[in-house]
Amino acid sequence: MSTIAASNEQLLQEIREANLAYLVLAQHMIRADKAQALYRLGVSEEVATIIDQLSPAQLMKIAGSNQLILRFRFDDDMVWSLLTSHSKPKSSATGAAVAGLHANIVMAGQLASLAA
Amino acid sequence: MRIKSIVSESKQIQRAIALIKLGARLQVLESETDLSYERLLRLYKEVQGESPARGMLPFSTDWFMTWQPNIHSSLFLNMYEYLDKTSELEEIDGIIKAYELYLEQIRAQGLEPLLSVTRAWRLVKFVDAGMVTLTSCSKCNGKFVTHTYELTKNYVCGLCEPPARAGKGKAQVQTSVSAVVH
Repeated sequence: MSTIAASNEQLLQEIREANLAYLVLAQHMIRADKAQALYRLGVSEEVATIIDQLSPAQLMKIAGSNQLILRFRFDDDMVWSLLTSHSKPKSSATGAAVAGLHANIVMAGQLASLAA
Repeated sequence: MRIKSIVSESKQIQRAIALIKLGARLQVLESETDLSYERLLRLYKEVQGESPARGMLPFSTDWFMTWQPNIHSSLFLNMYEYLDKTSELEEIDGIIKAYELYLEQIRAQGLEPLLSVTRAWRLVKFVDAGMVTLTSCSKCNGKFVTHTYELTKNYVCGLCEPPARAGKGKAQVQTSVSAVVH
């Protein structure tokens, strides 16, 4: 029993850390350049404004949850297979790099249509 | 043209410096700022330490349609459209920010940027003029740069179906990058 509780405690700790690291990074990016941060984070301007205005105490409070506050921004096979280059074993390293760009283009396009 | 406000002038100089640092040609600066040609020339020499390249800008839309440039152009334009939709930016600031994101992404992949900032600017102008647009690929749903009036119903992008000789001239393309960037 106690070992389960201990490992759970560690898991919660790691979730808190990931949440906090994400929020701090997001806040940093938004303050540095909001327009570019919207692209990098894939969040709406409203959400970005809220994150921007959070106090350190609020950040801690939001981070301390048993859920991760960030999640994958793509959920289709297409992007996954492009990112992992499972689709076609291309002959050269340039093939892999091009597959990376392909994923970038598809993701950027999806972002833009969500924002529309 | 006379500039009334000092604040606006300083903003324009900042913008011009950002563009020069990214490698923009003088024609871009002339079109996007109200600063005089002489001042831009001085600014250019001060920032780059050399005189700007002379000659006309590339003016054809065809370059954007060839295989590798099309991939780079599409990446940039997708980023630009995203910034344009989500933030209220002046067009030139959107171009600068999107171009910075493009450079980051290309370098992260270990590639050489094929698209110069001058060409990126040109591309946005072509879109404004309705000459080129983004079309969704029927296979991957990614959006790619195409001519506006092309038949686009069953459009398949150059990445889903690369042309037969795609990437074969790669070595040449990569070494001539410095010639392309102007």
